[in-house]
Amino acid sequence: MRIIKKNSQLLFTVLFFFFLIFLGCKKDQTAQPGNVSTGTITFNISHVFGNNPLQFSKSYLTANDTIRIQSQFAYYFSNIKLTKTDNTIYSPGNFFLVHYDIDSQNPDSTTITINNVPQGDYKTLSFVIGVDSLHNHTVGQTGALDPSMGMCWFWNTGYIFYRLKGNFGATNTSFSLDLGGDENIMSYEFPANFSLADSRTINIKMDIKELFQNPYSYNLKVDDKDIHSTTANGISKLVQNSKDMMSILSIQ
Amino acid sequence: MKVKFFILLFLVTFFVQCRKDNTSQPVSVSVPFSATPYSINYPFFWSKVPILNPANNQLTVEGIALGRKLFYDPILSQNNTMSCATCHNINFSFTDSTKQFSSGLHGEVGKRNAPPIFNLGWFTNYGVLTHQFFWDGGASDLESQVFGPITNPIEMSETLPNVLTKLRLKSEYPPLFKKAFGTDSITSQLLAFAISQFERTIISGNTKFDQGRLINFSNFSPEEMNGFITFTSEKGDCWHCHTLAPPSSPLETDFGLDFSFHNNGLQKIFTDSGLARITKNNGDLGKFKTPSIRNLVYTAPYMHDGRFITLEQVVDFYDALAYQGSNVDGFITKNPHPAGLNLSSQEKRELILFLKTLTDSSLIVNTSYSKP
Repeated sequence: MRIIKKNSQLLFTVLFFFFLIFLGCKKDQTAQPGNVSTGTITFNISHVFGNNPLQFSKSYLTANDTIRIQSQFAYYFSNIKLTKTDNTIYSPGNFFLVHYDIDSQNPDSTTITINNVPQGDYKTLSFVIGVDSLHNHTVGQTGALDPSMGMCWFWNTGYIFYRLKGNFGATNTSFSLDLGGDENIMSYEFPANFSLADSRTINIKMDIKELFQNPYSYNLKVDDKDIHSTTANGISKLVQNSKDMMSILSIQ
Repeated sequence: MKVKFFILLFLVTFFVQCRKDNTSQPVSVSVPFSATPYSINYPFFWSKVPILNPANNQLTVEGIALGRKLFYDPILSQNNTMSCATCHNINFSFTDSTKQFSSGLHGEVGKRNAPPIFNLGWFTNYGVLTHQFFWDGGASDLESQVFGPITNPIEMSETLPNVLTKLRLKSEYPPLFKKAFGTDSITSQLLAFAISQFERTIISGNTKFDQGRLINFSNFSPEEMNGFITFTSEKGDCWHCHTLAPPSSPLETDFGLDFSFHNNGLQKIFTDSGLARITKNNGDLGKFKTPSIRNLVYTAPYMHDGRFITLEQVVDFYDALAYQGSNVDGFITKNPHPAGLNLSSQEKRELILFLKTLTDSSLIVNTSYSKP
């Protein structure tokens, strides 16, 4: 009996270690790429001012002014998060810099593609216009965050999240809005019910007019027409207005 | 016996798990890039607190050599006439000679005195997160600081795309970047990485003071010792910001600064708002980064705006001339006028003699830091 008992202890111990091995193996398997089928999501972002597609040097009306947008319109699109109906989250971690530097470029829309998105049923899309605080306090970075892209400050380390330049009024007074700073990141979350197989296109609208209205009627004659720091007076008004700037038009 | 068996089983368990990991890795044919790791030769006991290098920018022999070459190369400026070393001259402990303000490429002058470059690596250990460099703390880290002077229109006045184009076209640079970073595609990041690496190796701690720390300051004259005591006493009270351990302390790394920002009462209304320019916090008005108390013999003139030419003027200022307003640091206002610090002329003289013991004459002749 004694021997049997000893053997059963031994058996248990051996089984326990096999269990450990099993745990280790299971972890390996789930970590391996390729087991999950993936698809592609394309964000088609249309830039509009009110009901009009954005074009440089065309005039648009705010409640206070006639304004024209000039080249160098640019922004960071990042921190994309897609939540499945089972609450798992896919976050590619990419930073996309959308920029229109040349007058002849047509700035009315842009396309951003993310690959390797797990297939399945999704319910929520969130993203930010800006750069998260983890990446916003050093500019010695690469890719979209490369400082030679011209979308950061060196006198006060940090990225320019959103750049809008142009002129307004009868006298063509210039304005230049560079929005940045951790507290001014523009976050969006939308219900997005779709199932992903091979590919999907999510049509998003950026309405720049919304920056100038709701809740604050932003008046370039009175409010800051030039913003080049994270703490300028006008910035919080613009950032609060920006909550309605993005919307989902359709998911195809 | 039983213990051995358990150990064996345990090892087998790990072996089986690890083997799986190994085999699941893709087989790499090429030898991974590696530059030669560089370890800093710290002065005296300073290795007790090694510099924390950023995880993605560890020091390498090749990276430092490239950074040093870039530091001295005027290619970084718009018309190829100014290098970092133009305003950070090794002969003056990497400050701009005795100039109050440096001249930029187009002849404009700024409104701040060029700070010295030494012992910068420790800001990663102790500095205020996101406010480490420039007098007003505007640069979050050394890698980000690098771009400021290069692109500032009143300094080197160049654009990053232009700098990168020039470096790519100069035949010697792509191979040097390849040696240092494993790629000859030159980016802003690698430019900043190399220069930062070089700057982190500029360490200054070989002074009469540091030598004295090892031998109970038996190398000090009585006047120098009196000055040291004044410096670290509540009377002189220099040491709260220009941190040095008192004479009797065990071996410490005496940085001579507190990695922080203070309003030292230079004036009632600041024409330069200092840290508040960055934080827009009124409480930060007139606060500037504490400069090191080391190598003062070389770094004149003094203060962020270089207003004082001599150490005597500096000591007189702290003795009884500092502004006492509400926004001024408590270490200044705790000794109200008219008495102020109430230092005698003898004490002032001794204090300055002591400050001069913090002179590292080996720094300015160090051939590892000079123009390559």
